[in-house]
This record gives sequence, structure tokens and C-alpha cells, in this order.
Amino acid sequence: MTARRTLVDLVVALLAIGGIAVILELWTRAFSVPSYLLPAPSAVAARMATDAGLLAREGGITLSEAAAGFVLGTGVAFALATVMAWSRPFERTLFPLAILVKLTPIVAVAPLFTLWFGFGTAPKVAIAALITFFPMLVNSFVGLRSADLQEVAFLETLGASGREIFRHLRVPSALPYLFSGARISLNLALIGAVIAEWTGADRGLGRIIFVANANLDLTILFGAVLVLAAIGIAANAIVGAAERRLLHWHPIAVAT
Amino acid sequence: MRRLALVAAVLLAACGAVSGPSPTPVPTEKITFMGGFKPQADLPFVAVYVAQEKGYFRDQSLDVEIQHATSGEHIQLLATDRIQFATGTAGDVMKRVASSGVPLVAIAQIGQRDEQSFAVRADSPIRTLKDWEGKVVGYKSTVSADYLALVSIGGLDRTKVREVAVGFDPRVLADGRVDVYPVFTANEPDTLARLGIPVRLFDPTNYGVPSLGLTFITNQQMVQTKPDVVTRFLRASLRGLADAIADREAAIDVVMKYATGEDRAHQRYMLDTEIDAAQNDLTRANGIGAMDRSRYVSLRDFLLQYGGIAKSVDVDAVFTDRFVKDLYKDGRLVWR
Repeated sequence: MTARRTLVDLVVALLAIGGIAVILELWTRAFSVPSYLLPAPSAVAARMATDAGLLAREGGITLSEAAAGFVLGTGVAFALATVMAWSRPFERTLFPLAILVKLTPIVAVAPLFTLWFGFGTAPKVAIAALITFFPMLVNSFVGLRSADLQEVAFLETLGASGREIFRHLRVPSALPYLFSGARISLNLALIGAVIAEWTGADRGLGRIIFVANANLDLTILFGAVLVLAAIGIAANAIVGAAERRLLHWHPIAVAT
Repeated sequence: MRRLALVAAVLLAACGAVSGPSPTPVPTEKITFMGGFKPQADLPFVAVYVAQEKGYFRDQSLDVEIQHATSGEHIQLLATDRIQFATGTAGDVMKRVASSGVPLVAIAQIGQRDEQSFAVRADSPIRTLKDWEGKVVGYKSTVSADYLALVSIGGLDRTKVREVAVGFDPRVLADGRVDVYPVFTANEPDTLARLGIPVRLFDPTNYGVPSLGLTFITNQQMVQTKPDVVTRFLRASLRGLADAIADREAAIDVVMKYATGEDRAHQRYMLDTEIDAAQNDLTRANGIGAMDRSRYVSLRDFLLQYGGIAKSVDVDAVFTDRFVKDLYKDGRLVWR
């Protein structure tokens, strides 16, 4: 049943994308739209085929930066959320700092990361981590606090330790929130990696997009954007599959 | 009354303009100028700011809206005639025409030399191009034709140079992450000096690289269907530019109305540097903004040689000097 539904979803999505592509193709041909304003989908597809190797290599670099940033950012966020869920004073101390991080314009601080971490992968990973941090922090914190108080009390009467309650009640209760945070953070990590590449990089999809924009080379620009979107969709699909597997008991798994 | 007329004539002459016939009433044309970057004392921007402030556009029956691009969108907007005038370097115009067929035309050459240089710290042991070997050399977004030309001119072994993408933050030179940093000559050297890091410049122009600086640009449609508007826009702008050169402090007063929050002294540095770069023997003979076809040919050949453009381009499709030529008489702007 699930496989069939997934297949139907995929077909519907492909039909929608194909329909939009056909409309754009007709539009650009009928009105002779120059490629520096809007390239025809067929031109984008041809360019993607020509530069498939390049897009795959650069996409892999952006993906690796985003993945590392995602792991780092969400890991730190979960750890801090655990501390905040445990202790009100920590919550009151850390939450304003988390909001400060959230409100810091990434574009403004991205060049500083190059100064602090150099020209390699590190500043890209750090920016991706920074941008993924807040959604996971909030979701983790709310999730860990969402455990049923009566269930907590029940486990305490059974002599369960705080660590046992954390592991067997709070974390399972938080899982729907964690997956929700992961879905948001995954896409943000990709965006963070791309922004980081804009501020100074010699590799990655962000660099391709930046240079293509400067050169008005919109076929490769849209090609890179589509590769980025494909990575995002694939990552979300992986998280969705993990969510369905781990949360098969939860209503959210049925709904997704 | 005669004395008053005499005073008026002297004042007009002091503005660098030669009196001509009385203005002929023409319908007011609404146009948009978009500077290719944020509001600042880039010389073409200053020309437009001052022309607007002093009513020169109004005198030319032009209702000019001034906008600024944030990420290069002015090129597409100009190509589709959503704006009518903008700015760009001669090399950028040539690249866009060559690579994408964007219908742009340069109509006045304001920057007569390369607007970019390569900076090293003033206390750096790097003295010659050859000294770049074994050093970290930055590039802003792509390795530029200027850089490749300097590599060739300096006889550098490129494999011995570590090239890194450094973006647009000059602090990487200040903290020693790079040894050579690409700068806009009118901008980052002053920023770095304010950080306590005076720099020395390797200016490609001094090594014979034929790059050119900022131009006023418009689209082919304007040139072909509204040449009078192009002429009037340039006439007013170049008069504004002449005023800016004559009274730089007053020009900065006007700049600061647009460039809110910018540092006044830095804007003055930018203006002074760009005024220097706008004047050479060609402009002394033919006026600010003068264009020379042979320099565009040299620029095209240079860009072809060093990969700045992938295919050749007809320079006559990239620039036209007909408007600027008509505006000057004996090297002085004719105001009419």
C-alpha cells in the first residue's frame, strides 16, 4: 500500500513538473525569450546533460558540506536542547542566545567565517551548521518537554533513573519533533552551504550559481538549482523513510 | 542688466560648459538610471547624482528616476528596457554581448583605466610579479583575465602560485590569509588603510594590460529609437560630472544624500581616485567620457587571449562614441 502510494505521489509530481516545463518551453519559444532572461527547459536539460559530470561533482561537494553542517548543527542543537529541557535556569540562559544566533543575518557573518576558519570546507560546514541550529533546537526542546507528565511520574514510581526516563520516554516522545526539525534543517543546510560558497569558494553548486549569475549563463544556473532541488528532495525522502520506519506507531507516520 | 548677463555667462563658463542656443522645448521623457552597485561615489553615479541635484536632467526635459542594483540585475533590466541607462565596465559589457548576445551599448567611457588592481601589504617582501610565486593570491569570484595577463607578463610559473577564491572581504589580506588580494583601486586600499594595513598596488594598467573602467551603458533600442534621449542624458550627466570635478566637496555632499550611512572620507577617496582614472590624454583632448575604438579593439583582443571572452565580438556593436563626440567642442561640453 505504501509503495503504491509513493509511486502515485512520484507520478503526480513528475506530471506537475513536466507540465510546467512544457508551458515554459512553449512560452520561451512563442515569445522568443532570450536565454539570458529565461532559458527554455530543453536548453537547461541539454546543458545538464553536457555538464552532468561537473554538476555531479560540484553537487557532491555542496552535499558533503551541507551534510557535515547538518550533523554538527543538529547535534549541538540536540545537546543544548537536552540541557535546556533538563534545567529551567539553563533554558532561560541559553534560549536568548539561541535567538541571537537565529536572528544573525548569515550573509553578513559569512565572510567572517572565512577569516576564522580559512578558505577550505570548514567555513561552509560552520555556516550550514549555524543555519540548521535553531529549528532543531526548538523542535528538540519542545519534543523533550512534551513527554506526558503522568508517564514520567509512573516511571519514577517504578524507580527509573533520569537517564532511563530520558532514553525510554523523553526521546521517543520527542521523535516526531526531531524529524520535523530534521526536515527543515536539511533544506536549510543546503541553503547555508550555497550561501557560504557565494562568499568565497572554488567549488560547489553555490559557486556555479554565483559565477553563472555574473555571466548571465542561466542554463547552467538553472541546472545547478535543479540539482540542488533534487538533492533536497532526495534528502527529504530519506528522512521521510526513516520517520515512517521509526515512528510506525505514531499517527504522523500514517499521515506522511 | 548687461552686467547681470555677463555674470551669468561667466558662471556658465566656470561650470565647464560653453554657451549654445537656447533650449528647445521638448516633451519630458521619463527614464530610469540604475547604478551597477550600491549608492556610492563611483564617478558615473556621482555624475548622475549631481545632474539630478542641479536640475540638469530637468533642463534637458528628462524625468530621471535613480535606482541601484544589488546583484547585477541592472543588466537584464536594461536589456528589456525596464531601465534605460546603467553602468558597467567596458570589459563586462563586452563579455555580456559576446557570451549572451545581450543588446548593450557603452556610450561614454568614464574610467579610462582598469578599475581593479592587486594589493599587497605595504610591508610585504613582494616587490615584483615574479615574487608572487610561492605566495597565496586571491581572486574574487573567477580567475580574471587581468590576473592571467599579469602571470604572462611577469613570466610567472602559475603552478607555483596558490590561487584561492577570497570573495569580497579585504580582511583576508589584513590577517595574512592571502599575500596578494584583488581590489577595486578606488575602494579597498582605503578600507585597508583604515584598518591600519596600508597597501601597495600592482595596477594591471601599469603593465600594459588594456582594461578599461566604468562606462555609461544603454540598450540598442535606445540608441536606435531614442538617440536624442541618449544625448540629453549624457549631456546632463557629463555636466554633472564636470561640476563634481570642479567642486569635489560639494559633490560629496550630494553623494551622501544617496549613500546614507557611508563614510564621507571613504567616499571622497573613491571620488578622487576615480577622477584621476577618468582623465588621460584622450579626455584632455576630447573631454571626459571620450571613447577610442582602438582601445576597445585592444580590450577585445586581450580578453580573447586570456579567456575573458570565449569568442570574438564586433566592437562596433559594443560601444558607440557618436554621442560623446557630439557633446564636446574643442574638448569642452556644449550645453544647449
